[in-house]
Amino acid sequence: MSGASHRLPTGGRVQRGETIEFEFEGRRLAGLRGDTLASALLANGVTLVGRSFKYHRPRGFLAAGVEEPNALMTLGNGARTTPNVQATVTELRSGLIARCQNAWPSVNFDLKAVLGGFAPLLGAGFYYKTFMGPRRGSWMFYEPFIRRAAGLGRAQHKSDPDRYETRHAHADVLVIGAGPAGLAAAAAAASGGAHVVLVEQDFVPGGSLLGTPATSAHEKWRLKLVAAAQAQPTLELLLRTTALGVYDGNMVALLERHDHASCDASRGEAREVVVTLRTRSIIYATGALEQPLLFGDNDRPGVMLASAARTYLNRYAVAAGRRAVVATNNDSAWHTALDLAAAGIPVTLLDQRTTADAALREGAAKAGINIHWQARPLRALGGKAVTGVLAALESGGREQRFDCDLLCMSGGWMPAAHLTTHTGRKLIHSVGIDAFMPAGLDAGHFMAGAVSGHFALSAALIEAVTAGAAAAAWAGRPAASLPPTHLPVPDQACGFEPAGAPPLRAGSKAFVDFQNDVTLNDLIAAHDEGYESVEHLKRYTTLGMGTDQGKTSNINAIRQMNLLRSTSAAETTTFRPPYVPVSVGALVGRAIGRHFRPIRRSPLHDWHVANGGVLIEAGPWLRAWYYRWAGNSAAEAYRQEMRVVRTAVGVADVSSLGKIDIQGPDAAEFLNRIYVNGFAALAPGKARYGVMLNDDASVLDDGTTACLAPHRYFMTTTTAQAGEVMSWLEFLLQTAWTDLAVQVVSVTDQWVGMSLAGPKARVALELALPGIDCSDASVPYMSVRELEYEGMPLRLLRLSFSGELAYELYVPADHGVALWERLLARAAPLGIKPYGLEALASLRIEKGHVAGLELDHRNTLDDLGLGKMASRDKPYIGRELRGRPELQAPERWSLVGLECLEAAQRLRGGAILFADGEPQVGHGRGYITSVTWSTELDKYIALGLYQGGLKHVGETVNCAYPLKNESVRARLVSPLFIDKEGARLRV
Amino acid sequence: MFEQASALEKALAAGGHAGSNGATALRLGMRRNWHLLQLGTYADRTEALNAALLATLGVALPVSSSAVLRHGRHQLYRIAADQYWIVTGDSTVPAALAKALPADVASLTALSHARVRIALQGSAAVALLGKLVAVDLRPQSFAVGSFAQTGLHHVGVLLERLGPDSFELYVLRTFAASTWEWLLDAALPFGYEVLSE
Repeated sequence: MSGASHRLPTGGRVQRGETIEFEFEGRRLAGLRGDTLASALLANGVTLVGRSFKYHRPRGFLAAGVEEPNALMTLGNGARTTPNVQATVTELRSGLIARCQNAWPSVNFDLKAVLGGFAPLLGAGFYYKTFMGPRRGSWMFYEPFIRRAAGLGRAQHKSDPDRYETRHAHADVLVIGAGPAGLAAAAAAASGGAHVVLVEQDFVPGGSLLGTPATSAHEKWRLKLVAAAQAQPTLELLLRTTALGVYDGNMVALLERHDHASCDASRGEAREVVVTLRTRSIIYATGALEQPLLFGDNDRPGVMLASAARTYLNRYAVAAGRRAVVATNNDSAWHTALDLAAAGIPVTLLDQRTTADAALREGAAKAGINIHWQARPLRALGGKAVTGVLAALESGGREQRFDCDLLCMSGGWMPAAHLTTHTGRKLIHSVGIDAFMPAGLDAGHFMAGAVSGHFALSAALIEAVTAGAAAAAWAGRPAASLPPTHLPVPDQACGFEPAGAPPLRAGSKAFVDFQNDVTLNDLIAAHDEGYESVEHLKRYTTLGMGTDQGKTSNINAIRQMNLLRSTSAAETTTFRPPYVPVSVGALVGRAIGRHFRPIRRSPLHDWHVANGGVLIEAGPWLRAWYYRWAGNSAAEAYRQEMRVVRTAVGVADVSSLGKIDIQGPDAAEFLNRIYVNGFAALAPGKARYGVMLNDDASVLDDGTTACLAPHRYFMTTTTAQAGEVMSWLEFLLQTAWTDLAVQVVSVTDQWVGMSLAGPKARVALELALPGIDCSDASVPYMSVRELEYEGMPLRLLRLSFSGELAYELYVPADHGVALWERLLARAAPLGIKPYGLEALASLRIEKGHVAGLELDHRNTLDDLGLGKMASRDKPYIGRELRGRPELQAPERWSLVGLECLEAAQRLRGGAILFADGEPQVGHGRGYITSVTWSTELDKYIALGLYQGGLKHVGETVNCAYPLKNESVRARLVSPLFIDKEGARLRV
Repeated sequence: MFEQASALEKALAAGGHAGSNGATALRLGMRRNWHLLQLGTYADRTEALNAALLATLGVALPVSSSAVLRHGRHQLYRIAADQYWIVTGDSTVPAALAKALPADVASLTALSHARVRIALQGSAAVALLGKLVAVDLRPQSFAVGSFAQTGLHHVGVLLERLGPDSFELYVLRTFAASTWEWLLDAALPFGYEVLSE
């Protein structure tokens, strides 16, 4: 185990008594409680942590937080492997396993670093330009190889064993960011009882104050701010929680991370939770992100943002180097220089300006810092670690080399305003900070602190208290007592001068986007080729398109492009959610496996499962497909089940049929308008088959509606269209026909439905429910009786899907199993058996009944051979458009029957139909919709759609099935295969 | 007589589960012996309807579409502009209402078998529901006596608050087993016991 070579003996906000062991690149290392993976690695002297995306250049830590572009690591192993995790935001935990990415064989010796030598060739657009030829499609060939050479970490293919969740939350005020502004704003907002949710991505609240020395007045103030916030009873502080995106209606997506708690999925503990939070108002207190300076080889390990070096020093007590140079164009980096010097590290300060804040200058002089004015870095020296910097002094009059192993840089600050733009707002350029800030916010949104472009603590505090009060008032819970706005600590100096164009040295690369390896030369190339607009620039160079979304690159790129274009046009890019990468698992939550969608179960479900029913998904339903009594496969069983129905009696669960209760004085008129056939005169006790059209005249659905009593009807729909029909009826009543006194209620869940079918169905019914007169005279074909049987409501319909004598029985759902079991038990002497969906769907093919496969919203009434049903005497939905010439064209594909002519072959659903002798190319003249083995005809039969339809009855067609390279001959016949006169129905 | 079996018979028999800290912060169960009727009104007939309801139930239609109207053993919910639910423990109500309401005054549809009524209680009830529905359950927004129609696992449900930590859900019967599994999964870290009626 390595010693903590770079840990300072005192200071920091880490818990020195608590050592945490972890693994990095196969080495056992130790850090302290309170470390991030990055600070622990730096404490162990590890500065080389990755290879760059394209050139495989050695990279170290640039930042100490969420903006880090370099230190992406793969954490965990096996099924728990997580690639592309920023070491700078990873809270150190015991047993953590981390590996570097994009390097082979190792990060120290990466063979692909040779790519760096070809850098002049590999500029922006190189791959696309080079590999677009020699022929169309070439790019598709090369792309996988190119992508393999570049890239990030690799995902693995095993199922993730961890648990992820989603949840909803609500707040009056959401405060994003628990830095000084966020803490003060939240306390102010909560003072009048408003429910405030304060989210902080870090595991410690304090924001920028965590970069100040642990013994400073600033730290005391931080603790006071945290205590004041926590003292508010209506304030919830959520640490390790990042706001990912802001959406319409003040909905904010948050990501909660629980990795620190070593979650156990088997106990229901979630590793990550996506929270959908709805709030009345929002305060953005998201702070600002320090930006790099542009100079040659500014990506060498050891070149670091000044604020990051300060954070490592003061928060983690880690000296990121032993000899430091600080290069800056603003006052903030002076604090880093002062704190490094106070820790005993020799510091040289290069400031491009001519002066700085007086107090800072005085402090630096006292600390013995070597200050150079009008000085800028030209080029970092070294390879896998920085060894020095070549600087231009005296405004370029003189060059000098400074040795160092830590080069801190500050190119100014960019407000972290990303979230404010998610609702479509643009940022504007602020000259004072040469960066972008929110121009305005949505109603009910407020901001405080550095995000607004005001970097001074005094300004942030005043803004925070004002924003807190305003947000609470907006939420209807005005603040009661506002915290003091007097800053109790020395203020932050904010002097700044734009960096301008960097004095570049030939042969060195100045990186603008560290993660995607975009250099200043790439920007120049983009400009030369006309890709000047920032939206073009980013797509041409991939700038800002990494997992960091350009948090350290966008503003520098825009500044440089504006210089190239000699414009100050304030054009900015678009920030989109998520603000930080989020695992797909967290977005999906628990909607996995069998809960990918909800499952709908019949009231008879448990019976089917317990009695040999094999289930199949039908939309959301799980239906009984076939039963094991009839065979061990669907192909075997459905024929046996069909035979029982054709020769004796079978019973099927048809509970999934849509059932709609239709009542009201105008119910008959309503039905008459929605069905193509007449329903106005349907008498109580009668049932009628009906077809309804969409308003474009395609068939919507078919089914039977029974009149139970005057003004009261019981409609059934197909399983597939039940929801759609219900919505359609409600839509019509609520919009088109508000004058009709009609109520529709879905009763699909109320009634369990059973189809009792077969020549012995009546006897079966009489055995099971003695006392009911089931004679043809009493219950004729297409009739309904509403009964109460042994205290149980019973609806008995006589109608048939199979073509046999059949009844549908409906009873309240909880009685379903009892009735089903009684039918099977009492009619057992008749040979009654349950039959499943496959047999149900096959029996109807023999009878030529259309179903879901034919009702695909493309076919008209006439296509399905149902044109004669339509009434000529009344209006109905779809009537006008039904007459369009295109929909009446004689050569439309319409319903036919098919008989297989080859004994050794079978017909297949989806087969394409060609006329005999016709070449089998293209879309043919139609296709097969439904196929079954006919137990009556002893051959394969099918329903299909064929150009010209029944005009071609008797002709031979070829049924081509290219997937199996099959072509089978069949004869076109009437779709009514059995009992053409309907004699079996009326016995 | 035909026996009755609810959609959750099998699920309820499976029993409870301890939470991640060994506790059981939830009680889940299914209510039995209640009746649900959906009432549909027609324009210009509400006066006659209210008169019939006053005579039968002793209460007229509620105006609010977010607060339950309780009267004796009856609860009334306004679930749409012209639709209401009557939930009652009095088994004579369905027949009495059917008799009192002519077909041109109101529609009456029995839905007792179409819904499963699930009780959720305990200190984690609000947290559990936070994982299930997008309803603001803070007391100032969803006080005791409130109800909301919302989506739970893609399916419409009616949620009612009976107490600070006590709720009921009316779930479509055919989705009830699936909803129950979804609920138990969400309840896993809290721990739950199954309420016996």
